[in-house]
Amino acid sequence: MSQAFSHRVLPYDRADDLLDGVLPFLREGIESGDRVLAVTTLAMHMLLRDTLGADAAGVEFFESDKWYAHPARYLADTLALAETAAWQKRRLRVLGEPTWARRGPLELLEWQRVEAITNAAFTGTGAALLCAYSRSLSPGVVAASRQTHPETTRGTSTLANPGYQEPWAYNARLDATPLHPAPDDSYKLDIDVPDLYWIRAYVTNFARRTPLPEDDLQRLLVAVTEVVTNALRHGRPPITLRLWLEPGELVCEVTDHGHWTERTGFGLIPPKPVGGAGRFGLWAVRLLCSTVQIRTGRDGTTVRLRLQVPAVVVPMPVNSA
Amino acid sequence: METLSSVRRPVRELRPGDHAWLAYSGEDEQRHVVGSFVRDGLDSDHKVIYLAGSDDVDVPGMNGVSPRPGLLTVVPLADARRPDGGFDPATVLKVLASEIAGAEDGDFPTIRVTVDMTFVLERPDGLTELLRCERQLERAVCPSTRVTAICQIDRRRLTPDARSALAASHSTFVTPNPEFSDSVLQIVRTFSPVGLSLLGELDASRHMVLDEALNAVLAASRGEEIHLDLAGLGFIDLGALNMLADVAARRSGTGPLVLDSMPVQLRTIMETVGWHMLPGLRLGSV
Repeated sequence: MSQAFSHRVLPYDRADDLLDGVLPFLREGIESGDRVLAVTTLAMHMLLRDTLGADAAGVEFFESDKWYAHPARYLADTLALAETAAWQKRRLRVLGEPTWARRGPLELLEWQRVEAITNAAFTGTGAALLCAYSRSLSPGVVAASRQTHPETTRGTSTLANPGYQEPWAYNARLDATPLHPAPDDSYKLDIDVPDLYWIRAYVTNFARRTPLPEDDLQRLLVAVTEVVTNALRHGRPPITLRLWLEPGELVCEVTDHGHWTERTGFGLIPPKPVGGAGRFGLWAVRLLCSTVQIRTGRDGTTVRLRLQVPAVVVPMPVNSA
Repeated sequence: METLSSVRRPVRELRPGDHAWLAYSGEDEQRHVVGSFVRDGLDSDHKVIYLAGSDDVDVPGMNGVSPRPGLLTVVPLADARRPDGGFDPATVLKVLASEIAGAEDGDFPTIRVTVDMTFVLERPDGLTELLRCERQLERAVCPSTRVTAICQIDRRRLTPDARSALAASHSTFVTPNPEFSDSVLQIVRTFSPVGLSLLGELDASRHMVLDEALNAVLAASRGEEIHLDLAGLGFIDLGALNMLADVAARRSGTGPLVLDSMPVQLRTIMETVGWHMLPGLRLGSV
């Protein structure tokens, strides 16, 4: 691969600023025979098509809402595209406009984590990623983008971001914030007789009383089985499972008194299925859940699995007149 | 499929009075099931009457150990050969009946009888003749509190008519003993296609037994595709999927590992995790 991987942020105020940075980026890709993707809002698609004219045929358009639906799945899919392109001696070039508005605080953190991890995951793929950030987003989001992207694009020039943080350091900083404690009224199971079958029965029993869809229950069961298996194999007793509901989410927590070493993967980067299957447990757990939170230290290890629960409209009783 | 009216029962659960049939797919399955029947019988000091093509036949389930004298009687089919070269089922049955009667007079709590009846089917008007034999056997076995019988039939010779007739004339359809069975998981060998049938739930509590069963199948296979029938599997964990992918990788170059009848909830997991994470695994019949 002749070109180095690049990951740049393009902050913009108006459509003009955006086009000043985006058009040279896309045109360079079209001219070089790159695989060029534009992942933006529908309005931006229209604008780009109009401005690019005939060149638009060299760009594949995708909608941000679908592309940025799930952090780990996004990373897996985009990385696979980058690796396929590299294997074909091409470069993957993506203009991305991540969806930041409408995200809750926890989701924001997970997507910022993905932006940081991107710098480690895409090394060697030669991909060129340009991420557009509107300055109308919350100041925290724009500020974080300068920590998670090594460079800023302004028109045709590129500037190094002095505040850029090494991805794993950034990741560790996100995880330095302690999790709020599990609610007192959470369902609690001490795992001492480990037939995993009973643990799934317990989780199923809880989940069936929530609106969690059947597909997601199956995903949760695979995820929780994996996390408990890890705790039984590598952690230290006592191991405790807790379940509770938060607004819009089912939370399943596994704690033990062990401490993960620095070499333990957190499953943030997809493993490569080379030479047979490697262990892909924690990575798969991230794919199966909406969000996975991990805290490990001298006091023990906590893994929290979160799955979105659809809001259920409770039918109102109709009083007969 | 083979069971239109018979109850399916692993060979180790057959009881006196059971007149069971085995529709074997080939010699491997025949020797596996009949071998369990013979070996368990000899180990428990049951009388075993085995009807064979000749008297120096390699009786399955012996493991090279000679049984206690008098415990095993091999009735050579050749004794029933007629002057024209064919076999006379009536003679075969007469020989069998007298063996059973002799054993009942003896000091055996239980008598196990097994016959490969496929030769009867091959005669002109074979099915009618087979069913006549079956009725005779039924009369000998069912009222008995001591006799258990397995009639073996080569499934490849069976017409649909013969299948339903045999199902109707046997109370029990005998299946291989499970490789493993507890309240959560059952693993059963399959022979056509070669592989395993998994029922229940599979996780790290039972990875060892899956590994043993897979190794047994691999050792017995001749490089053909290995099929796992997952129709009855309610759960599989990531570790077990990893094990399957490992087996598939070890077998690269020979037949793949095919996952048949995958339940929809398992398919959801595979699609979420990504099939590319598990190279060498192939989805088979739905």
